[in-house]
Amino acid sequence: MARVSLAAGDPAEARRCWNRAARYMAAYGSHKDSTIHELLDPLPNLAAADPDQARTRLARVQPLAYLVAQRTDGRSTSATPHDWWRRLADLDPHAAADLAADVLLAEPGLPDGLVDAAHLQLLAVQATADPVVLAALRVTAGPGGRHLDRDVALLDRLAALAPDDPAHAAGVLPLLANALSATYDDQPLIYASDADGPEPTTVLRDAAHRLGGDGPPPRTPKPDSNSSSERRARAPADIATFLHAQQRPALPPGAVGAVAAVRDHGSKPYNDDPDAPRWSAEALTNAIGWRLMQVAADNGADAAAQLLYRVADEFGALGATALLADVGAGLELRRDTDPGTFDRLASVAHTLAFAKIRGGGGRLTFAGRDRLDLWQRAQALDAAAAAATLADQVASAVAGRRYGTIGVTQALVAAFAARPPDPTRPAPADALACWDAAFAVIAHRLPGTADIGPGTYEPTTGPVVQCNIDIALSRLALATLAMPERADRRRTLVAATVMLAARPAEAQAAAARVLAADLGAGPLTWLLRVLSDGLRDAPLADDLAAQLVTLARSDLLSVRVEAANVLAAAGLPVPDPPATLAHPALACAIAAEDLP
Amino acid sequence: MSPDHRAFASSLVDEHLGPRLEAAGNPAGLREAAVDLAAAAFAGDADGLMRAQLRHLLHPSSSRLPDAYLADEAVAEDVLQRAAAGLRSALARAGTLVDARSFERAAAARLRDDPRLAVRAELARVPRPLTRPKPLRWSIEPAPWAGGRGPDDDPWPPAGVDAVAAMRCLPDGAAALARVDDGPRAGWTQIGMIERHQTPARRYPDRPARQVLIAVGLEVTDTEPPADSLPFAWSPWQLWTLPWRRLDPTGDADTVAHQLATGTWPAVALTDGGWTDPNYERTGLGSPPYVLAPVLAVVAALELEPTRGVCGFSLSDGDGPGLVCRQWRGHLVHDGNYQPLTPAVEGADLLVRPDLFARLRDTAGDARIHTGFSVNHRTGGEAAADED
Repeated sequence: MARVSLAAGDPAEARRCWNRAARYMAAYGSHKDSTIHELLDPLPNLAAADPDQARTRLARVQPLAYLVAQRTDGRSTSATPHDWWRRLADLDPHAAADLAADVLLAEPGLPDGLVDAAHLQLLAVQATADPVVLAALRVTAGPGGRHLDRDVALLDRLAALAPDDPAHAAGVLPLLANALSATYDDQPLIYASDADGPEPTTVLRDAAHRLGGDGPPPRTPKPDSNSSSERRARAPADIATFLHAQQRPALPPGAVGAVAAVRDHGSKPYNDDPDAPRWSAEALTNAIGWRLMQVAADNGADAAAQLLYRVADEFGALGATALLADVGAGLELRRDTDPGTFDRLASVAHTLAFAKIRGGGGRLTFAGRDRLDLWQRAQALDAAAAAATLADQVASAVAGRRYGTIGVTQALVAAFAARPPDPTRPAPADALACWDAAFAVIAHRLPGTADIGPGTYEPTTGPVVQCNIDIALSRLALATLAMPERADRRRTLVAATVMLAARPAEAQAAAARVLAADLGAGPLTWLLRVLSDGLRDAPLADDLAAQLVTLARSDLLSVRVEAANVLAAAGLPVPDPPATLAHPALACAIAAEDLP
Repeated sequence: MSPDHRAFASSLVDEHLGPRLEAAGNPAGLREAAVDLAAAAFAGDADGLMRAQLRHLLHPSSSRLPDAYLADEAVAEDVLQRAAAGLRSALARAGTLVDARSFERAAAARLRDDPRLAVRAELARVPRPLTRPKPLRWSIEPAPWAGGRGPDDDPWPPAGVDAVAAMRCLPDGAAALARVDDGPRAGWTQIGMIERHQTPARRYPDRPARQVLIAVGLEVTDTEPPADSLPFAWSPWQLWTLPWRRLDPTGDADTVAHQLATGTWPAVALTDGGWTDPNYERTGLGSPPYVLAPVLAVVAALELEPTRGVCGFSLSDGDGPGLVCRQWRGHLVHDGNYQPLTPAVEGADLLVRPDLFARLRDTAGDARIHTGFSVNHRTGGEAAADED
């Protein structure tokens, strides 16, 4: 376009085109951009401090999460919209369920991976939702929702329902137990990509039996494919290696000895026995800790702090940095002897441990959000030392090796949300400022307009009561009627049947919204028929009645008849069926048939 | 709209709606109207939706359709209901005025896609039980040949099939029937069971389609049941939802009891609710291959009525549920293209409460009770022909 503009004599437009192309090439030059996780991952920590502010930021980051997946090469980033939906389920379950249902109902007949992600995350985080509603949502998740611990917990919650709960009288508990545990049969016999799930256990069977369900017979899990590599890794060592591992190293006193201890520990062969005396973590902690105390006594606190820095650096990127936390704990134990010195040293040790322990299962090179307790302890002991140490570590990470900064932003946001570096400032202010600063940089690097479709999030303000969340969850459960696979649709109708019997208010509210979607004659007729059987002559909620009146005027025969049946059974006025214009072929054929 | 669209629409309507239109007496012009509307829909965006659905549900190399209610079937249902909504107007234009509500109610009853069977079958689904007579214990492992990796690792036919293939009844009469070991129905007797193990043809390793079908059913007879027959009678699936007197208004309990004591009859029936039945009425929700039920005489003799409230297939007396049909499916396989995944095992059984089973034995006479039995296995085209 720049060339075309130049040829057309418009150099200004040519320059704009060139600049735009350059920015896009620089931003999306086929590289992955995992920095989006620096914004997504700490949102739950922000939410713990200020839910409204966190939701506002969740809305702001939505286009960026989609842009990363849509514009980069997708390596390690194709699932960022899924991650965003999981965060939505964490921070705003009501909106997540509502929005997921909207997406399904907007495109009936198409599965949606993002909705799946939100659906499964809601099952994971909504442990306090109404158990009958949650079980209905679990049933509609199908085999993808299998999770032994959560399923057993859910069955136990159902078993603990009060004796006067309508679920008992309606007799739906055995049905829920069977529908849930039967999904454990949807297990591939042969390799089939990611369709594998956990096998049923005795615990699951017993939980199902307690509800009157048949319960799945326990099955032995398939052999772990990693077991052979583990066996190789534990192959017996030769005699020299064995003897080396059995001997503790001879270490010099003072700072030199502490550094030598870390180096010796770092020399452990990968497949050597980690329980051998030489590689004992406790011995290393003692070797460092006692020498630190010696240096503090001989050379002062500053020298000891410097030694701590030196030791932390000596561990390197993949060393046993968790030992720093043990060193900090050991220093704390001796704070009574010299609180000023030992509080400071322990604070430095805890902060270094927080920064150096790789988060996210090792994926993050800087801290992460896994050991916020270390930061909080460091702050409590000596806030100034903790802040200075953390600032120093961040500066080192920025100035240091490539990829060394992965995790810095989320660590700072999570840490400051839990405990601000300056205790005199309001709790989440610094965390929000960090997040906003990172957002500005990352948003600049992700230009363009994201294609979000019908799932654009408007943040909820203020708390949402659980009963409203339950209605939203019910709506998502019933919206899975729009999924294409027959088994999904049948499970949805089972969920609707159960909820109509045991949770009629939630079921009616959900059905009213689902029936408003353009699902087609088949699904609308099925749901209406289930409503007709489930409601019988029960009173109708106003919004459901209004929707039924609309459907009773539909131009689809089975839909308007079934809607009219439900209205009539409830004793409500039934509109006259419309005089739908006959198709010409139908009119001609009937006219010809009636001719004398 | 092209001739291709019209031809496709025509085949679509015949495939998905043909039996329903026929059962409704082929109302004049309804098929033609549906074909016209379907052709227009496929000239529009229905074709694109179907392609998108298949892209989501299948591997690029897949050659089998998923078990899904896809756009073609949805369009067929839409156009039928849209065209049928004009029936009343068409009659009015031809000079026939009808009562709007009762006419439409009657028309919809004949032309709608009724979900009740499919929902009942899903409500009846349980985790696959291992309950079965001892000589069939070999069938507990689902399709044992499915995981074989080569010619030396190909357990076909499964060990145990040959030993029982020639048998028509299990020895020991009623004692051969299996009982439920644990759970809420511990001690109930399994008077019927049918289970199919099936895998599609695949390459790498090169294997034909395969199927093993096992059927067990209580039979009351003074003589050996006919060879090469299934131990089942036939019954409408509505036996689970309607009182038996509505299905047989002329029957009475005394006559039934006499017939049970003297006649020859299978106690278990295959119903038209399973899609393998020739009279099965197709539904967009799909159905299991087999739905079992007791024969009407057993229901009458045991004075059972459809269980009230939410349930799958269940009949009750004054002491609660007394006879149930359980459904199961699972253990997924594919044809080497990873998608679609289909169940290798599908089955159903029929359980009766201990006190009712004792009454049944007393009524029929213990010596006349046989455990009817059938096992067969197929490969290649015969096995594949039984796929949906």
